[in-house]
Amino acid sequence: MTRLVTHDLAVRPTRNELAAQDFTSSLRGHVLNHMAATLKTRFESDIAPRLPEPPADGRAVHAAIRPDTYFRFYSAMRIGAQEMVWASVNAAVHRDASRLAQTAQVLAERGTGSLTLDPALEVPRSVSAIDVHHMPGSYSAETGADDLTAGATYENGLSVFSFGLMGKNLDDIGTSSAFWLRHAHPDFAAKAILDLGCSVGHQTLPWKQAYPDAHVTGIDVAAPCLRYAHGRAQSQEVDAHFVQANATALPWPDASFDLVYSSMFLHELPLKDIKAVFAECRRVLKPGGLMLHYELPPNNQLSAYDGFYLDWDCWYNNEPYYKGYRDQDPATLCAEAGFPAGGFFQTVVPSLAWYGDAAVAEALKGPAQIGGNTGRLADGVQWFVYGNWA
Amino acid sequence: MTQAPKVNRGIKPQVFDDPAIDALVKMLLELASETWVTRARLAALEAKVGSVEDLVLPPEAEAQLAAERDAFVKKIFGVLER
Repeated sequence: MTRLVTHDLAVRPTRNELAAQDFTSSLRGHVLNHMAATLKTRFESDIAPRLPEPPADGRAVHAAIRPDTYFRFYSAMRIGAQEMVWASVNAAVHRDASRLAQTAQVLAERGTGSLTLDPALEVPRSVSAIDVHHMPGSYSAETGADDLTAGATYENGLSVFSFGLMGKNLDDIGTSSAFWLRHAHPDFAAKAILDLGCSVGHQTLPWKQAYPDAHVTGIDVAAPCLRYAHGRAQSQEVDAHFVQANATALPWPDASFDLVYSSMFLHELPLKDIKAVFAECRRVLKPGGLMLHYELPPNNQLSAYDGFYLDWDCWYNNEPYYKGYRDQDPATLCAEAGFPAGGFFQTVVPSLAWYGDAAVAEALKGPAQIGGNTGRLADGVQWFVYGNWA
Repeated sequence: MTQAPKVNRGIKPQVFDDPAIDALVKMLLELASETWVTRARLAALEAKVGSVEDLVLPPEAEAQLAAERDAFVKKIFGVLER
């Protein structure tokens, strides 16, 4: 099985495929830790001093660094490693497609979670027309009504991609977010929780684990990911409900949820959809409810270099809306959607998988500072979280 | 068995002025990966059977290896066709 996908929907890579996966993880670790650090030093010591004026923003840093040979090797290697992430899992996933579908059918009978698909739902072109993250077929490609290979490709690919930084169950963002909420607001009673753009539900399940009495629902537009998410949840014996729906038009009445969450979701959306999502969050939240997003920190709170560094994915990783999102101000997005200004907050949550529960609990007592490793997938990552009380 | 989608949808980024260098980097990465795969497999084999220094492969195993070698070359240098 792929290193971090060990539940009943695990695929069976050959020894060679597993070695190629391990190599790709190591390669990404080298590029995103060692080469990224060298790149920053090189910019600060060699490139920036020769500029006529300090770069005003990430776009200016990109323009200045683009001709640099080291940057070009960094980018070419990161692009190559990204392609190799998917190449290292594709054969195993597609070889096993029938067995995965059959296993999912068996798992569906086993637990108390549910799957509700809407075949009439139109998958937005931001998902269907582009291979997001260079993942072949993106999240929504399917060959039939029981196809869950896109979900399997995504989770197995994430295992290789994350080189251990997203936890042993690839759920560190959800687990860390829920850990923060329980510590920061121990009296908050979340009975109905909604996770937007949940893909394979890996960040959805931590909410049920943190709030065992809650009814937890994950939505996505991509049916093959939801089929996989349902089987994955059943396999891990977590009671969660998956619904095919678009977060810009939620199929629930007003005031239905206590908590609406998303992780790594907003930056894949066109700005008009982001605004629609925020308005929908406001609508479906109960009074006193909470909208909470894990996201990349915004450009207006980062140095020009750090903004450029995070925006790399927009230019080179088939994530065309990434910079458009990161150029927004989270508090303004919330206010424009009608959230009360006094209810906005943002914080930085150290990765539980990296630092451990005790260290994170201690860190949460102090002020949250955005640092160089906030939202950056590298050793010592810290997650940026913001939200607004309704 | 299903097929992974083969057509790249979206922008295939190019970072060097000459696309040949982008292709060469990908070739090197694939070569490095294949080298590691081989080393990992050899380590597993030698842990099981001991040294293979004097081993002679039967003809069918040689033929299989030749086919795999062709696929190996195609994987590394196939970047030019993508």
